[in-house]
Amino acid sequence: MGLTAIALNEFCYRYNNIKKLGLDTINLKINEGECILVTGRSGCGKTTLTRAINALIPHFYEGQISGKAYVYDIDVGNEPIHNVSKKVGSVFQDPRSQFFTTNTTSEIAFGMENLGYDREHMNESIKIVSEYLGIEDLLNRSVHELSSGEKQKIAIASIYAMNPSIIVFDEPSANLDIESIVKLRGVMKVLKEKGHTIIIVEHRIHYLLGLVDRILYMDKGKIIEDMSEEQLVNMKDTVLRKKGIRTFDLKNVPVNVNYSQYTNKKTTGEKVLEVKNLKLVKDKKIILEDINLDVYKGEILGIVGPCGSGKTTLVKTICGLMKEQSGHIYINGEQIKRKKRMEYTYFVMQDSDYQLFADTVYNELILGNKKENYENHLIDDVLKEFDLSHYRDRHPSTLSGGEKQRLTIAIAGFKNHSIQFFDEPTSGLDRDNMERVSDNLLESKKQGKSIVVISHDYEFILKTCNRIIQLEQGKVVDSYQLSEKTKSKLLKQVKKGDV
Amino acid sequence: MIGNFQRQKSGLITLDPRIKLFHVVVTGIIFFNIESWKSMFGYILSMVLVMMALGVIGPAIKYMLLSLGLLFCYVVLPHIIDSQVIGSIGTLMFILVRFMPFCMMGTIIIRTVDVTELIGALNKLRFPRVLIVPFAVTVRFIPTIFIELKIIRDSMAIRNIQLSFYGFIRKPFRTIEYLLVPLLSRSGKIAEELAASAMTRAIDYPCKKTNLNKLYLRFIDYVYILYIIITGGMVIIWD
Repeated sequence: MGLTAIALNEFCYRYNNIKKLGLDTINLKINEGECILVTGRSGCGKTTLTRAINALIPHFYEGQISGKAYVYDIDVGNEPIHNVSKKVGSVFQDPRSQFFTTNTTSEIAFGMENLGYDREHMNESIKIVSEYLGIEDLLNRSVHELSSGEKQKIAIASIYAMNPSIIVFDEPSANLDIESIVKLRGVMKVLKEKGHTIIIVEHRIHYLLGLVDRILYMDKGKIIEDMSEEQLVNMKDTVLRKKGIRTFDLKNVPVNVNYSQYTNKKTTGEKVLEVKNLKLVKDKKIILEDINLDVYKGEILGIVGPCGSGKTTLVKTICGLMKEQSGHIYINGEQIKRKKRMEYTYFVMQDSDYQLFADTVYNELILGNKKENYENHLIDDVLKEFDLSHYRDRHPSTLSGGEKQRLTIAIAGFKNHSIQFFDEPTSGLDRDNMERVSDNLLESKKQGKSIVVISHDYEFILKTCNRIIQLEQGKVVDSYQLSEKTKSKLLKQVKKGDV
Repeated sequence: MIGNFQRQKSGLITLDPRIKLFHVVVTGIIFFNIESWKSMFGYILSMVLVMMALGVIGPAIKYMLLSLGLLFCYVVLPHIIDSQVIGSIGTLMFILVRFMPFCMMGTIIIRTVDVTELIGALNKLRFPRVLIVPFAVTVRFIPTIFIELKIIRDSMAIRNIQLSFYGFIRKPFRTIEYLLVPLLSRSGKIAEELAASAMTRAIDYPCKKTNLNKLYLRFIDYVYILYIIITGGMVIIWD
């Protein structure tokens, strides 16, 4: 047994203005060099636990504390945060909001500059760190040019350059494509081999198989279980579902679990959307080329492919938010001009924060609809269907992430568009909310709507989609019906990023 | 060998951020000391050249065309159409032209000065620390707001909320609300995470901060100072 890196004794914490305890009597010991996964439902206190370790609690998020937290021999509550920062580095969920500078190299140097390292030392560290993480080609570039996965790497590099012995990851995979997720695993592996203590908070855990030493399962601010990887792997799916834990092994996810329940036998091969020879050029770069695509009535089509392969651009073009260079788009057999297409399509974008405008949940559903197009009782029906009735008069910004996401989908369900598009509807959602989204989409499908989903969440895709198209560098490279037989095709993509 | 990781080059020249701050001060002096449109235009031209040399070419051309257009309204239009309304519109346009150098300065700073560089420069100029961090965060935040607004505009279009001039005139408060609610909720979230991330990277560590990019005045910086003083002086004398 090595040194104790982190110790929490009878640690309780309550955020100001919130009645519930954020952390409830936590007793935890983590040894140096261990790799720990913390999981549990949204709001179970996982992120709060990381904040108790990186000293944002109590120095940034004020609240009431009892008990003690130690990082090595530092008493986290009583010493300034920068003493802890030398030991604990934190990588946050959204790579966009943790960059302080616009240049990748200065970003990596940022922490070291704050600690007053001299220039030679910094140059040396940047060199070593970029070799370790394989990011030499990302140095000295504008942050805005990078993909989410690349940004994540720079964020890790910036932490790593300060040489902390403990690194905390808060949902690092939420904004990454499947290839980047597998690469992230590679980075974590390197860090583990170098003897760092790693703490990972995650919902999507399949990429961590074989990496973690211990798994902490949290619920309502408490650590309920402290188990080995083997114990979790051997857990039955029914138990996992009860606990709200996602799968550890994608191979075990059955295709279209709930499908029969929702399949509408009446669906014929009626084409709702037809895209022909679509081409889009932006800033002299070809983003989409030779795109041919059909969407049928009552189907859920999944679009997969790496970041930057043009998935979102394709959907935006079909919806009329972007202008195509050439090609035709037919909806219900008619060719529709760009500006008109918005009337036939509905697009739920990735981040629900951007998409909620009104002052109550109820008004949110009405917004943008003409009075003669709906009846009041219909709104209540929709709210009920999406389990949002008790939030009817709440302000949308006070809802949790999963609830906001559900509301945006409810809005889509309320609008009578024949095709709905979703961009990453499950990023950052726990199992309960992910399955709920899946059920909602299957329900809409049953009602005869056509749905197109962009997603990196393969667990969700396996459960929800019946057809897959794969995009790479702006071209459709593969298209197939999803079944137990073709599942391996999809999972091959996961292997691809493995190095 | 990777070598040193110093100043990145995008334009013909790179300049010390302190000199750019000096340029801001000169621009302020110009603003209060010149009256005629000719010298104003002369000064704008001198700044367009600077922007081009720094590699900020697109905005430079846009500012150039915009000021030409506005000056056209002020100088030429009243001669063609003799009306008081046109005259007062022209004067209004000239007031906009007078603010143009400030906007250009802002663009130069946001596009070419890195935030850590700015912190370093202000530190060297012995600015109080309580002012530096908020100022740096603001500069870091402005481009983010534009990116966020673009996404919000898209999602408004999807929701069938028109963001048109007509819509704005008809329901100004509604339109502003629809823009501001998501912008504020996003900004709050980003600001919080940004601050948290900076805290965990020891931004408040009480020591003398170092800088990866060495700040020192080079020949080109002196040339630039001279250029600012000469052009600034010339437009004031000319005026």
